[in-house]
Amino acid sequence: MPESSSQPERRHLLSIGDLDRGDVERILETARALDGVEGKLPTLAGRLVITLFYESSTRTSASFELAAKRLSADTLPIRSAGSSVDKGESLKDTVLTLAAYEPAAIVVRHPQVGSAQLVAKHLVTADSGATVVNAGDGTHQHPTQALLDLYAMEQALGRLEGLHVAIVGDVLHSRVARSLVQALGLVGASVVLVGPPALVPRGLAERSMEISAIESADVVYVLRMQRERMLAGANYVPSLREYTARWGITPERLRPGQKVMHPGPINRGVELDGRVADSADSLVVEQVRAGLVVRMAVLHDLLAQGVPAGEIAGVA
Amino acid sequence: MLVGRNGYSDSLTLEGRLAGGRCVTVTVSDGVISRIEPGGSSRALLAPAFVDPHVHLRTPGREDEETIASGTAAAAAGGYCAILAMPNTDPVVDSAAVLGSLRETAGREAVVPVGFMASISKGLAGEELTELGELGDAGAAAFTDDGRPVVSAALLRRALQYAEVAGRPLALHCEEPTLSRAGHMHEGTVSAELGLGGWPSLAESVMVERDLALAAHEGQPLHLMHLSKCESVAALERARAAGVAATAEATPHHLVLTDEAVRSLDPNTKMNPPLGSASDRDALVGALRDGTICCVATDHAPHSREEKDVPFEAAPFGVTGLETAFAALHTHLVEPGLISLETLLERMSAGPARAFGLPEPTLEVGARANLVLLDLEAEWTVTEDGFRSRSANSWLLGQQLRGRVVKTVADGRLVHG
Repeated sequence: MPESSSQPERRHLLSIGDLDRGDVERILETARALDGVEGKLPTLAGRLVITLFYESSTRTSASFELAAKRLSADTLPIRSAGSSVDKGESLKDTVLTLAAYEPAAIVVRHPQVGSAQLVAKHLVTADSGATVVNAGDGTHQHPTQALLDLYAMEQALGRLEGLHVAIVGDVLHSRVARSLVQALGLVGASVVLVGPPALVPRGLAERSMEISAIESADVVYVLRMQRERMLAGANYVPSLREYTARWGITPERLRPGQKVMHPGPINRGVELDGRVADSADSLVVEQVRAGLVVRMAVLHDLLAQGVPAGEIAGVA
Repeated sequence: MLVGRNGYSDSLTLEGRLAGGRCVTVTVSDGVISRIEPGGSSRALLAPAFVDPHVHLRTPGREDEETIASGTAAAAAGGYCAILAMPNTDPVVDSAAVLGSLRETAGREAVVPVGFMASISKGLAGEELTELGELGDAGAAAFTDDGRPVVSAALLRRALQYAEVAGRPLALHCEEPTLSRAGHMHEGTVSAELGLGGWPSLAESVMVERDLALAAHEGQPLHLMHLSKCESVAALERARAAGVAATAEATPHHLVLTDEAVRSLDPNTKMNPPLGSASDRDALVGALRDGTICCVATDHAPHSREEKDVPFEAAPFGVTGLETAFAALHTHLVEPGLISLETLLERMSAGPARAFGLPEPTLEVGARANLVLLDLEAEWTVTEDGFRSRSANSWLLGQQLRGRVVKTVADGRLVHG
């Protein structure tokens, strides 16, 4: 079985920290080979990909499921609402149950940090060889989002090495930001984190509380103000109104040609002005498109490592 | 204050090496050391047994996690001759009735003598004082709201004033809850990278400063539990230099690990207070060495397997420690030369006994036998099925340690080995 062959230590994708530069470049190359391929590829025919989502999601769940289908895998979407989770089943028991269906991969999204690690641990308990792909564990990591962001940047700007990226907003609660900072570091891009001091933790990258710090950026990456993660009375910022006034991304704060990205869903008029979201410099739709091919590439890379990317088009 | 299983005392002989290197044979007759003679060939070290001032026995309420019988058996296996149990049980030990029932159970079940602390506030609610005087008369070993801070400075002040009446010390869990709120680990680079809610060092140190200021003002002694941050150690040093009768403890996990261990996202690296930085750990080791921190306390906190077998963020705080404390500190502090063996033995035995006014275990003719025999060269691996404790949430699972408790004599009785 390819998934248990040469590199058992990289059987899962739990964090960008699991990857090195060569891994990232290979995944992006596979994504380029897959981009534009029409119809289905037979790569994962007869194999099962389970998408286990404990949090609401549109883009991530849809693109993983579609990616698996385009690679001819059987897919089994499990949502916490309406499943045994509603009856109080633990994550451990859910994993042991799903392992009995002998999946090739479990794609998991869960609101708590450490959940993807726990799934991987209990696949060992279940003696399962399945691969775990972390589709977001609380505020920790969302590695495939970072990979698709790299892909969209490279498509738009022709390179990654040497790019300067400003990540703006609620970095503290953002798994997207954590994965992206690591991924940009791997490919030789530089990062500045911009936002209110309490929402931009120390120790990740250069930080600034001045919105003018976005001026020199090739890409302005806007994070969602995660209202549902803000504890009442936490006072990270005095109000959303004040946040928007100081850090909201408006046409006036951008240079022509500066690319703008956002992982979605957008709070129009809060962190991102609607005019920017709809402008030609917005890569939001490109990010969604990249999500599909990059997630195909990730599944291909983890589950069918023997097949070189260059042969993919030929197989089609 | 300490209560153990009623009944017999043992007569036995133990051969071992004293800390000075001399080989001796110790005779115990009816629980009392009757002779110490030169001779014998054992390579094992014979020392006064250990005292743990901070143990959660989970009884009453969570007997699935620990009982008086299982927790004291774990203590015996760890070389302890006395332990103090925390009152944050269900119901809370906040009345003489609950305390009396625990002491009665301990009289039947306790493998090593155990003292029970009572709470400072009724129901640990932080609002009304418990009847400290009556609880003291009923045998409370000390008073603490451990697991929670005494948030109200006014309540703590009244408790300090009244503790003199009760005749027993206060032991404090220092945590400023508005700063620690939503924290799952120490705030720093590691929490930033993992995305886990950060618990700043200040959450401990500002409460340490406040509590020491209140103790200084009232002229009362104070014991600080499970210190974990360098700022707290510095505050303690200043207060002691200014004459405050403050004592403090540190746990094996804070003395060995740093927040880097949390990168594993292993729920057994999640504890309250959270593991600190390398400089926090260095400050703790330094303070243990120079005696500013006079005791090692395990903060043995058993949790059921189900409770810990969840994502890190969902897991409760706490790890077990009774059965691994000596081996962990011997392996990670004594062998690398960070503290001497003599210092470690003192901080695990006489240090905590003095801080809580308990009899000091001594190796002298005429003393009640409280002895531990230690094989310093024995290597062993910590495994889930190797515990006497009902719980296995150890931060040391799978690790190899050097140094092992061979025999424990507690209150004149062979309780382990």
